[in-house]
Amino acid sequence: MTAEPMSDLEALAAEYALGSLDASDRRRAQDLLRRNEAFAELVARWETQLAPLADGVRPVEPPADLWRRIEHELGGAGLARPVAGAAAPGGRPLLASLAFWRWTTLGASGLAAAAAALALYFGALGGGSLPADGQRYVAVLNAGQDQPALVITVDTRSGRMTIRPVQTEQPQNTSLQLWLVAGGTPRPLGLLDPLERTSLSLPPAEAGLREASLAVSLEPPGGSPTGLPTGPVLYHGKLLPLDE
Amino acid sequence: MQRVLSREAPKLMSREVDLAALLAQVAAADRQAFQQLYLATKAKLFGVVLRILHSPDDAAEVLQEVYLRVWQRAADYRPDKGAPMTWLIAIARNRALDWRRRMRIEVPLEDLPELEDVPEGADASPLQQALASADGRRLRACMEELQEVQQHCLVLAYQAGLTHQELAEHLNRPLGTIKSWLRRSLASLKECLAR
Repeated sequence: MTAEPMSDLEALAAEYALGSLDASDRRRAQDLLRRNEAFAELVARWETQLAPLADGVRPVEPPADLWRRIEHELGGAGLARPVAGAAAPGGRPLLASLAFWRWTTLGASGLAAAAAALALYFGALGGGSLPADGQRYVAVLNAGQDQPALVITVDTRSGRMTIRPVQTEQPQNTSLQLWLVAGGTPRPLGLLDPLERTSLSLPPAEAGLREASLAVSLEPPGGSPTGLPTGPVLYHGKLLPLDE
Repeated sequence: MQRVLSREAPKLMSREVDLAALLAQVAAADRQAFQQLYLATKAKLFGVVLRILHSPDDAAEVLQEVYLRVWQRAADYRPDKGAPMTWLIAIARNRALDWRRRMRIEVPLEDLPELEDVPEGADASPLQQALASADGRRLRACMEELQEVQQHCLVLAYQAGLTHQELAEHLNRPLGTIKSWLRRSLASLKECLAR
């Protein structure tokens, strides 16, 4: 049987829903998913159409302690609900301890150690050893001297950065855009998801990361139309080298 | 004349009715409902995630993230867009696939089942087993219009999360062949499902 070929957009949506895209195509699709509503609808439709394929997967009991682990995390940082007024109940061990860290009163090395500890807590570094020809950085972005909003790690060897939201707010119908501030003009790095770990590529030839900071501004959906921040800076933080 | 109307409700699967109600309660930060939702869905979701990741430790870690996300995003569930289980499975598969791609997990290809574990002498065809539910019947009818190897390709990609490249290695075909198979299979599924 021969069918009408699908548009490239729909084929990408179908293959994303099927799960066969490799890492880079998958990232491309996820990027599109965040900013293109038509694409998001195609993906949702394909996910529904293909869902019966999961029937053939046999249920397996997860480890018995999993619920306890989930409950433990429930009160933790990053789980404040996006819904106003519905704060996650229960204890919040991580957040509580972080709140005590007064970032500005720590010395630079203390700050780096704190940031590294945080990054390790979130498993953002994957526990690798020092890359031979690269440098890793970490930045904790916050809204002033308060709780951290995002933890960002940069690996210059792979040319990628990983953004872990901790407690990130995004008002409706806006985008959060990440900027690299190294010297003069901020350079756009990409859009963030306030709830999801995001991976972005680092612009090439960034020699000057040592003195650089990262900032997140509030922008119209899809990002700044001008290539420069147009909205308020919500979060910012310095990049700190990790392997020293 | 008075007609006696049947009071019988449409035969919805009770599981799905419950799950939708539970999700609504979870959206209102009801921890108890969240635990019930967990108990009702954990084995299916763990099975789905484990199938993609193969490692029970990785699968447990991913499943933990999945439920935390469900807790955060329960309000996003739209009953008019599909069954709760479909929504939950989509979240679980996507997290598992992200993990698999990120960690570059290599599943030994010989560990992969031929079409999902067909018991010896089973009456049902592999595809019938893969698509056992009522919802699956339409998809199955459409998949039966495809060649068997193409059906296999779709099932492997969906259930085990194989990339085009991995499918090519597993099925011992050129990458280009796999890509055009998948594209054509998906296009004909689309056409068939729209009929």
